[in-house]
Amino acid sequence: MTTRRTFTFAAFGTALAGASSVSGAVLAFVLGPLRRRAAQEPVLLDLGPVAAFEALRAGAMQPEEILVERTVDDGYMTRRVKERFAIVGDARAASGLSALIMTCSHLGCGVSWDRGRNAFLCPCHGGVYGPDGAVLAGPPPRALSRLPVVVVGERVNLDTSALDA
Amino acid sequence: MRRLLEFLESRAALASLWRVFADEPISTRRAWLFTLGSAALVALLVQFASGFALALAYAPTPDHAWESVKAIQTRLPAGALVRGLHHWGASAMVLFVALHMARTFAFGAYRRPRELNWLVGLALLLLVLGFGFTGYLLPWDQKAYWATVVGTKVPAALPVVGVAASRLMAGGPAVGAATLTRFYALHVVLLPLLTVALVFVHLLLMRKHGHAGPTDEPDPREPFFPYQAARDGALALALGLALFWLAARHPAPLERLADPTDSSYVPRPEWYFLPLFQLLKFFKGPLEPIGTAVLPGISVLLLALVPWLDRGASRRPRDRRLVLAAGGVGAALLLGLLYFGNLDSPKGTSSGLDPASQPPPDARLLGGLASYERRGCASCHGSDGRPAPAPGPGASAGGAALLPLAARSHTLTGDAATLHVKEKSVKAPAEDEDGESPNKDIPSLLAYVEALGKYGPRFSALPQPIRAGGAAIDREDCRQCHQLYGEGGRRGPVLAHLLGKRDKDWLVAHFKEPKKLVEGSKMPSFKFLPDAELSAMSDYLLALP
Repeated sequence: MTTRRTFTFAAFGTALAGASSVSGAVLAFVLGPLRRRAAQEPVLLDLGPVAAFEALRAGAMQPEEILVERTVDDGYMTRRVKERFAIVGDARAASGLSALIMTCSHLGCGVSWDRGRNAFLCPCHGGVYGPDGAVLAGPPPRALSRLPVVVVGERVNLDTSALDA
Repeated sequence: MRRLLEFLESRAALASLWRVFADEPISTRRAWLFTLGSAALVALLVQFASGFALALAYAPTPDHAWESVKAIQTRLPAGALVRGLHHWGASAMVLFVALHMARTFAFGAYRRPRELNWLVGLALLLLVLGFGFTGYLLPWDQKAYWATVVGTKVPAALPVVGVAASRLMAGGPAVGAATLTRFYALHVVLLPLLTVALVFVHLLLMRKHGHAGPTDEPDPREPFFPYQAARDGALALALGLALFWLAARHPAPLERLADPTDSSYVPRPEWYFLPLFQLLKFFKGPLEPIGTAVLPGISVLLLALVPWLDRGASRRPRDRRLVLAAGGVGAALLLGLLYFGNLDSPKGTSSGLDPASQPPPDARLLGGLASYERRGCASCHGSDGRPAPAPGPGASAGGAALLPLAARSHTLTGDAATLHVKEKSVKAPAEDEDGESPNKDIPSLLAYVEALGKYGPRFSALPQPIRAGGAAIDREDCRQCHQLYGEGGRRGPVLAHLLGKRDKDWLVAHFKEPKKLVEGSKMPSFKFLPDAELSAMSDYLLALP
């Protein structure tokens, strides 16, 4: 090994190490959003007295649409957001209820309940979901996602801890 | 001057550089087809200049993005023009890059030794589309928000890497503040840097291998300057004029503030993403990645491999029939998707400024408009100040034209005008229950007529809530206590910039019970007004700049 070659290797090596440390730091920052937050305690939002949801628990087909306002972490800030959920009867849940997230499983447009057709419709690409959130027609790959609804005392609560994971 | 030039030549070889640049031999055949690349470069410069200007006044946060774009569009000097240039310049970029590429393909100019430059050009096309996608979100209006929701969900269907890719694009689990800063950083920092670097390489490689010309047979050549430079300049001039015309006549759209709870909004992509959007509709359920990733991926890969797939000896079209046919089929498919995607688009709201996003006129003028209608002024003066011609010789002649100003030969002013209104009103208003003068609307009416004469009838296109709300605000004399467009009392808060601070529910509730929501408020309750009117008043207030 000549001195000149040693120098060349050393110079390039140092430059490479420097460049990769900076790139590594930047990359770690850019990839930050991949890290999910650790599982949390249930975050409960009060939806009202049990009596108000009696019909659904008894098996009524018409979902109850609710608008929930809550605070979410949004990047560098927290924001109050309004979100819509459909409360539906769910025999498997202890509370007899669960909440459908009204976001189409296809590409994330908002779905809405159509009384006439007895189905959730997505305006973007024509997805159709039944009253239980199962796909009836169109491109959606999955049923509407669910959030647990629990009864605490005599109040119905929505557990939003699964959102924003 | 001469000494300055000599100095520059000796220190920086500027004159020699210019000679190298200007004397490049260019084929004289099909010379106009070789101006497309420089037109794309001109469009890029327009984007850099207008983008710089926009960045001066833009705030990349969900709380202020829409408002700052609205201010650019409606209040800042030349803001609408600059934003229009940027909006239409984006389309021009895509158009000219695509045409430039089609020409290169048709002439087979990607052949040895220019394969690398074809790849650089393809990378530039993808960068341009990246600009389009990231720039789209920045105004944070309905279209921006929902198109980005869809756009960031597109990779989510991919196996293994899909969800991670989607999270990386959005900067989190959903489109929000982090998405906006990410897209902004990409749009104004990373993509421009990459673009400048690649354009430089593109030009350097072009000069290294010389001008390809339409065929590989020897063709007559002339220096770039002045012949080709003149053609490039002519196209640049035409492009510039077209952009200015478009920016002035068709302002860049700005829809309502993004509303994540709105489930009725159907996002429509910009025309250059329409083929991709249309493709999504053909592949459903588990097949979806075929439309979102496989087909676009294969297309880009095929384009990248073109120089190695087509390596015949001659560049003459008749020796490349298969390649040209394949390219033609590809282009036809793309245009077909574009055509059918466009057919499916809803008409109307897709272009132009959303009426609700323009600042509403002064409430007084809307009050005047309401009283113009209520008093039946239209039966003589026409609904927009232009009386209909008398239907026949026997019919009574209509009233004087209120529009345009030049037609008002005998302008009524002051007391005479008030008297005229009192006497001629078809339906004179009855005495108010609480003893207010039945004619207190006349000053507003006269202000409206004056504006009608000056500016023409431009209020009829306003959304009904804005008209009704403005009229109610005028009728209820909100200006007694509140400043509106710089006029009015100072006992209450100024009526401006309410959007983002208050929402409609709050305003309506506040109209009904002001003291309940604001402690120590002196504002009277407006419970007695119908809910529809309170809601319209809120709409008007929220639309105020």
